[in-house]
Amino acid sequence: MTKLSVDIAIVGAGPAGTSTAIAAAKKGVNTLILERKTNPGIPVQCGEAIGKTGPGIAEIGIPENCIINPIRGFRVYSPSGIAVDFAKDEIDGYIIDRRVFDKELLVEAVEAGSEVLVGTNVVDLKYKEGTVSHLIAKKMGEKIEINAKVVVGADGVNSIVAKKTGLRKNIKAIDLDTSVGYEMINVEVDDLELMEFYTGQNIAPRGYVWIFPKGENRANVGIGVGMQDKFASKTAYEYLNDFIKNHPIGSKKCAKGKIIEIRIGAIPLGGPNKKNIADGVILVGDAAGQVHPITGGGMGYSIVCGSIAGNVAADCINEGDVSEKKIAAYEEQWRERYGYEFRQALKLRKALEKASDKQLDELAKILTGELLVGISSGEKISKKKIAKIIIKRPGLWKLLGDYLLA
Amino acid sequence: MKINKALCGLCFGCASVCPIDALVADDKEIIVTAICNNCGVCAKICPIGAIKIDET
Ligand SMILES: Cc1cc2nc3c(=O)[nH]c(=O)nc-3n(C[C@H](O)[C@H](O)[C@H](O)COP(=O)(O)OP(=O)(O)OC[C@H]3O[C@@H](n4cnc5c(N)ncnc54)[C@H](O)[C@@H]3O)c2cc1C
Ligand code: SF4
Ligand code: SF4
Repeated sequence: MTKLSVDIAIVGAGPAGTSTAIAAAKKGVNTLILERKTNPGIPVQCGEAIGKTGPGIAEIGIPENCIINPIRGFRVYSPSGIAVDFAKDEIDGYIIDRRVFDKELLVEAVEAGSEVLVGTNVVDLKYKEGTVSHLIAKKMGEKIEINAKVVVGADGVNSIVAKKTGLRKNIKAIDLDTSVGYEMINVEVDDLELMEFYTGQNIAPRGYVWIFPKGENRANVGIGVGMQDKFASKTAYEYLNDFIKNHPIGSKKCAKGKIIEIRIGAIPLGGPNKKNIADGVILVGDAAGQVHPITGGGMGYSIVCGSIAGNVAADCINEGDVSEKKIAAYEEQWRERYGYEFRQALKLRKALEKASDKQLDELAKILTGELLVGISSGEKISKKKIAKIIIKRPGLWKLLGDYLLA
Repeated sequence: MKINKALCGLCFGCASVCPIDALVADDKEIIVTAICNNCGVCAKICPIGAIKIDET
């Protein structure tokens, strides 16, 4: 059996793991990424949109060669087809090639000095005297043991680090959106620089259909919906096929569409875990629940939070103290950035879950794109403005009043 | 409970919601362990309908 000893062992080479590694390796600590895939980044399980809500694109530092199509905003369609638009004058996001994106971040991490073992599945986490002592992994079938001062769980929705440390035992089924996406050729879009979203109880209960343009005639068309029985009455796959075949607007756009890729995914929408740290342990990205509870976007947050995690972990190691108390700097810093936004979005999502199609249509008539962006990030001015408008509409007030006043 | 491997897209949703951690995953397959009590939660979140609960 091979035994390794490092300063930081990062489980997972998604955007959360690689950005942690980049930050840590740049501070000169001995960093190792463990990734179970033999081809990191593949298969793609993503809509590939980055920017817009959440972290600004400037601070994420997107590798040039993964950019496919610049985006300036979005158009949301209500159940009966009323459009709400938001667009900036300048580029405000991108549709990227996720497989290139993940790979480039990994290249950057290794170039910064991090080690990486691909084809290496972490299967267990061992404790000694109350603190994590080492990880057990299988590298192409061979058992290896990794001793690390800090273990970073960047291992996604089904995080083994989160489970074994008890920081997140399992995700509540009602908090998971289930998702299918196609990459398609010959799809018509309204505007190459707008992401399209389609809502409605029969279209995508507790979620939406997205059409993200990837250039002339090429787009990602996907869906996320809530669990069956509680929200949905059939699978995400069936809803998506229905949209493509029968939706008044969608079916026209996809009429000549040819599917060139099928992507199946799970998106944790329940907001961050109560705690994402322990002695010598940090969770980041999907493992930490750092995903926007309405949009399901997680790449940007993963990268910013990963950088914070890598910096804090490296500082703790350099100062010889990796206790939870010291590592808490990570928790404080990332929550300072996104804690409020996630809490607000979660509350709003829970309110909107109950909205009827009629109410969504009514909202679409009232809301501007700016107000929609404002309200979903919990911006106080937007909440006030919307409250003023809907106070005279009892149905909508019942739905959103509590959220707008809080 | 059974997983139709031909349909499964390895989203890991089922393994992440299982209340008793009865599913073990690597990057190639999801394995149902003996502790599964056929509760059915995982089937409700499978995006592609790959999970069938055993009839009792
Ligand atoms: C269908 C779908 C569409 C989405 N669309 C968007 C979008 O358009 N924009 C956006 O911003 N976000 C989107 N998201 C969310 C986004 O993909 C995630 O939030 C993001 O990938 C999280 O990054 P991560 O690094 O935390 O996890 P992941 O990207 O999931 O990476 C985790 C890594 O850990 C590895 N791993 C897991 N367990 C182990 C183990 N035991 N041992 C070793 N390695 C392990 C995995 O193989 C994987 O490489 C979407 C998600 C889905 C499912
Ligand atoms: S939820 Fe369905 S598609 Fe996802 S891993 Fe489980 S069986 Fe496979
Ligand atoms: S049926 Fe219930 S116990 Fe069995 S794997 Fe699914 S969620 Fe877990």
